[in-house]
Amino acid sequence: MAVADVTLELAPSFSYWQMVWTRFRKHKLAMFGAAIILFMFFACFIGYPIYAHFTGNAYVGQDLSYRYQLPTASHWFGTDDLGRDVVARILYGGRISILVGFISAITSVILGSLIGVVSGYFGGWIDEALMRFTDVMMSLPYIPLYLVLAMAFGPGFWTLVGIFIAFGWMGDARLVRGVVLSLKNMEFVEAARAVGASNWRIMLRHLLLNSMAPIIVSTTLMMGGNIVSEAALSYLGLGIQPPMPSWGNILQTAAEYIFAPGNGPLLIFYPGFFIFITVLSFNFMGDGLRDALDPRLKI
Amino acid sequence: MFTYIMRRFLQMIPILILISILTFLLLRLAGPDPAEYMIMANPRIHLEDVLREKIRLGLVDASGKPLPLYIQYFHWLKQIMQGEWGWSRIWPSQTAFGAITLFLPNSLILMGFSLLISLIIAIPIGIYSALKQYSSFDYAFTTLSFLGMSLPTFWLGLMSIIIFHLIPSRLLGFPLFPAGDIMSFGKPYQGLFYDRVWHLFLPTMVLAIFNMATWTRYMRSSLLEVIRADYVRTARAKGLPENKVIYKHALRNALIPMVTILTLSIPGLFGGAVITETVFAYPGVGRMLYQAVLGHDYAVAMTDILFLAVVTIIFNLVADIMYAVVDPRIRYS
Repeated sequence: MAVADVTLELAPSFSYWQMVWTRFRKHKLAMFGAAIILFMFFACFIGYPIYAHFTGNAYVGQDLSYRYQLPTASHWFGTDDLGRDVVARILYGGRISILVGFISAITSVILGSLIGVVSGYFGGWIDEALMRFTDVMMSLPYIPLYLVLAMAFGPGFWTLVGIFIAFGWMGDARLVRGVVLSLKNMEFVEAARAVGASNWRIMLRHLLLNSMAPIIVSTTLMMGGNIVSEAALSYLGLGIQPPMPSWGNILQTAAEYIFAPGNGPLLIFYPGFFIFITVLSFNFMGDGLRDALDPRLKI
Repeated sequence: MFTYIMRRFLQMIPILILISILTFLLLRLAGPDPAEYMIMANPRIHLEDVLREKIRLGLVDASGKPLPLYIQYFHWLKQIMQGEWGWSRIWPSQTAFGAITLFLPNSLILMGFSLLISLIIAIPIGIYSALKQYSSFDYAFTTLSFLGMSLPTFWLGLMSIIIFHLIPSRLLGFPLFPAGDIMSFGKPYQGLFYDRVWHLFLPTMVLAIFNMATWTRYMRSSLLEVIRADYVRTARAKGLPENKVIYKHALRNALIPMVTILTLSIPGLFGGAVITETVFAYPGVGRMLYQAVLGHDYAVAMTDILFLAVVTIIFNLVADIMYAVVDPRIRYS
């Protein structure tokens, strides 16, 4: 008897990342956040030179006869206490703020994941030592220590990045350790070991890759958080130092001249608004990613 | 339980020692030694006086040779243990400890009020959002809490100064709320209470908004989780009125995680106070730390950081204990 022709109706198959994208796209606020972040990124890194070229407003160009000018056609956000164009300063300062957020968040997540995966995989005294250290780091009063650290190492870009890395990795270390503990006795790890995979290969390719979902979400949220922390420290005068602008120190200078006539109060509004919108977008995006990457995830 | 608490207390000691070493080294690295400031402050000071001060601070030995850092640290630790906190440099005739007791009440008042206000507002909103999940009220407040969580405190503070102080005083001729400090200059004594409340309003609200936003979300998700639990279904099945189901069975259990979150947020309030108090020139422990660090007032900065560290660690411990107290299923040994 001949085998009947059977045609199987296969549902179209999607890869994991396609599914993530489909779910992420449905989250309107997260899409809005992602769009704003992309816009900020392009505006600051590509938009600034274009803007400076066509309008002739650079972030350093002072004009003391045009202080505190209200917004005009040539200066969209007006001018600051030294007659500098505020749009140019916000765009250039955004580079610094975004860079601090990106570099410190990504580095501390990498550091935290490595500590977490080593701690969870090896267990024993390594785990005990690393986790006690994590506990100690987590019980430090971090904002006061930021002040002292910034003072001791001299405030600046790399000091800030270093501080945020030093105090940013603990959450991820615990997160990744938890995932690793729940996965390391599963069959696929055993199978990998059976075919002769090294410890490092198992840790990096099998365990770490499986904890990507919480790692990505926490990186996103941390980028926003670090941008605020940068601004807070710069606002206290212990972050990015003038003449290099950042959203925080533009706000700091503006706060000193809050009672100035003309553009004075608006000078406070602009940088803070950009910080707010960027952080909000990161938070929205983090929320959307959490739902998209793993609907059961709770962090 | 008792042994657990004792063990946790003993665990506090190495953490405190670590923090003290860390801050001591950092503050010594941060600038010239404290005695140099005596010379800067008074150019006609006798060098013998400077040397005597350096010996007293444990920076040099009797012959004027600088001592190694670890001996300086032990010298400092010994003095702290004996209750000698050192004299403040920027608050004349105050010991470091005296400076903290001077500013701490102000900080406690500010934090107490803002905690109270954020609780009074956040918990009902959280409950209502959870009960009416996916309603327009829920969506509105979820979005609002996202906005509140993303608002940088210092910007919110500055904007509130502009909106409630600067603009009214330019348009109306008088401010709706003061821009900072805790009382008006030269006010008659009988008006003091209202004057202080008036000055507290803006900093309290600014400090409250972040907690309000986070706690609304926590309250909502905590209640949502409990409402789906089996014992709530049982309560409904046996015919209890909805009121009783929610407020007696669901809410009580939903408040358990809130206790921990609340306790854990207190150290954060102390830390965050550095920024809020600086924005509003509010004389509390946070602004004091900022001024001490910038003004190289080592004695005060060290004492303040140790104080904040103790607060952080104690509230972490209290959070763990409270968790067991409110939830009998959790036992520590």
